[in-house]
Amino acid sequence: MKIISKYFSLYKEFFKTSLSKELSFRANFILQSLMNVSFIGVYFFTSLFIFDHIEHIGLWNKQEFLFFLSFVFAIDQTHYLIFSFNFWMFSDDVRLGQLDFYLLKPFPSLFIVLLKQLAIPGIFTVLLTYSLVIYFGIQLGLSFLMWLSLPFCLLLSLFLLLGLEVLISLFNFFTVEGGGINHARLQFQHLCRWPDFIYRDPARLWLLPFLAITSIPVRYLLDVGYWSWLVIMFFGTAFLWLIVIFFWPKALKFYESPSS
Amino acid sequence: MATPIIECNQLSRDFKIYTKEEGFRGTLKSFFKRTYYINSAVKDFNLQLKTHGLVGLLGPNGSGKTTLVKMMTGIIVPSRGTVKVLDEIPSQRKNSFKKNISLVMGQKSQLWWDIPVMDSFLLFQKYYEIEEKAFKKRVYDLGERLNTKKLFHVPVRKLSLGERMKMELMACLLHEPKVIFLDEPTIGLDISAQKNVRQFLKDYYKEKKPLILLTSHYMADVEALCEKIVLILDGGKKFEGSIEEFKTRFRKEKTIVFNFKKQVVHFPKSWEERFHCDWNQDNSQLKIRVPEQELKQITIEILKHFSVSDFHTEKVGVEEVMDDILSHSQ
Repeated sequence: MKIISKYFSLYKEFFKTSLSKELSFRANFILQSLMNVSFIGVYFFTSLFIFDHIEHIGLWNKQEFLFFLSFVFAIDQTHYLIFSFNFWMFSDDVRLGQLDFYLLKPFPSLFIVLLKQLAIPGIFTVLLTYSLVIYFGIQLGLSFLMWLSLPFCLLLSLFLLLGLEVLISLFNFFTVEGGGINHARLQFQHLCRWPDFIYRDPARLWLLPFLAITSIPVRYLLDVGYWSWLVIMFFGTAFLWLIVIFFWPKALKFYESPSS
Repeated sequence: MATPIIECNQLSRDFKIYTKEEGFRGTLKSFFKRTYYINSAVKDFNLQLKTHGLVGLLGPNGSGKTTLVKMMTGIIVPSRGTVKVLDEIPSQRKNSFKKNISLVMGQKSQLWWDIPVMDSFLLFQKYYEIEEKAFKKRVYDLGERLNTKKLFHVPVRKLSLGERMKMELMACLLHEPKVIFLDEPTIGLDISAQKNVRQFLKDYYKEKKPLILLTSHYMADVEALCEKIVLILDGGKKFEGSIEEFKTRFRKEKTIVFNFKKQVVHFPKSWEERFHCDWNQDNSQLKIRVPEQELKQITIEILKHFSVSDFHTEKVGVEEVMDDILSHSQ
């Protein structure tokens, strides 16, 4: 309990310092918040336009697809709020040596690297997207079990996405310049903004870990028959994190810290 | 026997350095075929620091000082050999170890750039789990001594370099570490700011008695603060001892100051060419640097040929000794 409160207390301070930073630049804060909302708006309005002309996309009708899209953006915006800035900065931390200071702090370096700064403008879109998930869930008449499963599904998706991104980011220790890695990470992230069935079979197999992030939980939430997929995803994510925890200290050994 | 606070045995660190020929052809060539060489930044370095104290780590650019400090703090992992600090292996990065050390890098900042420095201090409080009462007292005390209290609520980016360095020092001392690594803490500061930082470090050391390992290009820092010097050249230890021992061992020349009764007009040209001579404006005072073994002979000669009102040998600074060492090593 003491350990949890120690981590929570530090995270609370991360939140406060991030808030202090973001609110220092008022115009930037407002602009970022508006841009996030319009980014999500574009996706939803495009989907609505498509559904004005067709009944289904693949397996799903309009309600089901919009529920999927809300789920996707709930994950996407949670990721944006909590992790995106840190992932984006990680290559610079390695290349310019800011990582030195994170390695000196008496907390696990992965915890600091992943969580040190929040993108506060994401708060509004997180609230918006979670409201949309609930709204479309009600429209679809999700069962009580599914409502109970929903937080677990969101967390599982987030952990899978995060694990995959950390694994990709480890290459920063070897490539030094991480622009390409960041780009690859974002492209993979974009893949899970669409349902898995839009990809052809061979591609689907290759991209499975990324497609699973959103498609498997939503498939399960819409049809309980997919529970076994969710179980596989759970164990897959747990295994992925074991790999991450194993390789993170190994990769750190390759950190050279640039000369000052 | 007490365990050394810092202990390095045959400590070495190699870096693989990528090289590229200049120009378009070189760029294309290196894209397809990389060429590297191995640079041993630190080679078989041995050191034992058994008690607290202020120790200066000296050496020219690229001699391996910062690499050594980074291995001692656990930032980078040694290629060979071992290092122990406070009886722990730094590269294992245990929290118990990290709570007892601190590092200030003059060329890098660990404070959040866009927010007031107090917000960064609060973050440090959480990192090091400092109790509220102790935290407030330390911030107040350090702020009082460094005269920074009025700046606590100013964003870091608005501070001058000197003010920022004081804040960096404060941040690194909040958890009262047992071992403090200071890598060029006065770099870029003006003379007055350098003096303030030096005085602060002196006072802090007197009161808390940590082990402070200081690397600096400013020999004035080393002379003002350090009781002991470790000289590192080409990644290896060349000397370990007191400042006086250092000067005695490495000083190859001595400076004699002569004050003449009247203006000197005809000074032997051969001496001007052989030795470093520094005259005042009216040629009535001469500072001459001569090899130690010729000191006696030259003094006798000058006293014999010119009317001297007084003379004395000048106290040599660490800077001049370093200058000697570097010119000889080149």
